[in-house]
Amino acid sequence: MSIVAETLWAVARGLPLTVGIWLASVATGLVAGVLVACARHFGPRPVNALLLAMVETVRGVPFVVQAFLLYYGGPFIGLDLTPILAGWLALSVYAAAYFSEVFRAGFAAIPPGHTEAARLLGLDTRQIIARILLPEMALSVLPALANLAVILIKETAILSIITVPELTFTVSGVGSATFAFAQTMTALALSYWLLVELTAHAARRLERGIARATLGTA
Amino acid sequence: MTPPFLLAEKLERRVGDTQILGGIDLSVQKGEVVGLIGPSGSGKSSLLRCIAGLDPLTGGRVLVEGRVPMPGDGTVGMVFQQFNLWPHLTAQENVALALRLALRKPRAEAAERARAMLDRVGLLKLADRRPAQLSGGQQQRVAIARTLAVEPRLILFDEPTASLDPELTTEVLDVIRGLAETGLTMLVVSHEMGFVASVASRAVFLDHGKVLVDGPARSVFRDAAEPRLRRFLSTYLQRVAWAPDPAAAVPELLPAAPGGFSLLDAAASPPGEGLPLAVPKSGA
Repeated sequence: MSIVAETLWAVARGLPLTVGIWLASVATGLVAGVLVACARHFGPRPVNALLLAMVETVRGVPFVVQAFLLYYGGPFIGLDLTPILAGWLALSVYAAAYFSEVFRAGFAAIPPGHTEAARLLGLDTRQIIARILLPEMALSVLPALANLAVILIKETAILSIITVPELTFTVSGVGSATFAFAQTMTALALSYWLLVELTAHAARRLERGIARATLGTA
Repeated sequence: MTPPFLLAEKLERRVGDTQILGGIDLSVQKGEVVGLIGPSGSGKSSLLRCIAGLDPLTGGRVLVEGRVPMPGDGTVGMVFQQFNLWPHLTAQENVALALRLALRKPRAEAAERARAMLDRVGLLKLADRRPAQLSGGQQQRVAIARTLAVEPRLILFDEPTASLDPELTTEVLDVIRGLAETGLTMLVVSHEMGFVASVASRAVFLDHGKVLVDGPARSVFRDAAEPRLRRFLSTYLQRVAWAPDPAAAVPELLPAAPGGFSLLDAAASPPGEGLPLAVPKSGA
């Protein structure tokens, strides 16, 4: 098999897992990030302090170290995960920490009066978050969220070192076996770049959609 | 005497070393319209926020119909200086949201009631606009409709016209005036003295977190001897009671004449006659 064909085959094998683990981590990270931001915004002070400490810890340690610790250190605390599960969990935690900061800024940017009016009218906290605060901040937090999502695409490459058979793992495997590093790394770079471009495009479309839905503008 | 509809006893609020409310007693009967006046920082807005339960008290208690009101229990409604409409929802959705989520009305019924409320403030035609597409006065009228829709038994107005120009102020005040005539119990914080004088049955003057004067609106404006109130009212008059002709004499209006401020005589005039300023028509 030619190097080109081998590389393309490696991309085809690795890409679905890269996309899958990325989408799954973004989804879990968004949900967890919203929950963390809500708990910090509405919860009692000790909860806020505890979550702040956790966010700072995740942000203060390189992702490669976190992935290592979870996969190789996990078994010592009874967390014996497959590489893919460990990769998904590590990336989700990492994503949640950063996403939560974006949502925290979103909450902070909404005038308190919008919440006070809702509370006096009888809405409960869950309704206020779901029906007022999140839709209201959607448009302003989207660019920051999309930016993080793009960064996370590239962080999935790190999961190759805990033997997740994703894009970087499969393609660099070809490189090691054939010593055609220039060709394989170029293919790898192009693959990630394409993913990032598609994501950015989707984010722009989403932004217009949210603008239509929340501002009534085209 | 019937037990008061709203009873505020020794309300005290401090933030750190700062005393915001220093033991305020206030009792309001059902159907009364009370105007709260006083300089900025005197505690008017804080008093409303404490009654609504938005700010915690450090002393005293609030009872509405004998019970401590909780935010959202349907007792107290509030209209804010900054309107606080939700920008991502249309006027109609702003009014309908609480009907659906808090009062659990079916979607169609909530929409119908929301449209009726918007009609009441004269905005039915703009029901599908978002707040950003409405003028300040229209936004405030939507906010009033939103508050009315859930039928609170006491409505608090916190400087409802302070961020509006005179024209928009008039359209909002006309709506509030109409509500006062329907027998709603209302507390109105306002710097529109003419409005307070003509709509409120009672006026309360606050300064430094204390009630200095409390009485029938007319006598508070015209007869009260409290010097701080006199000073407050006279600066207000100096500002708004200009003479139409720059050459015309103004001064006789300024001091508290024995007959009182002529401003107040307008309190007796029928509603809708505009700002009851008694600028003498100097036959120029």
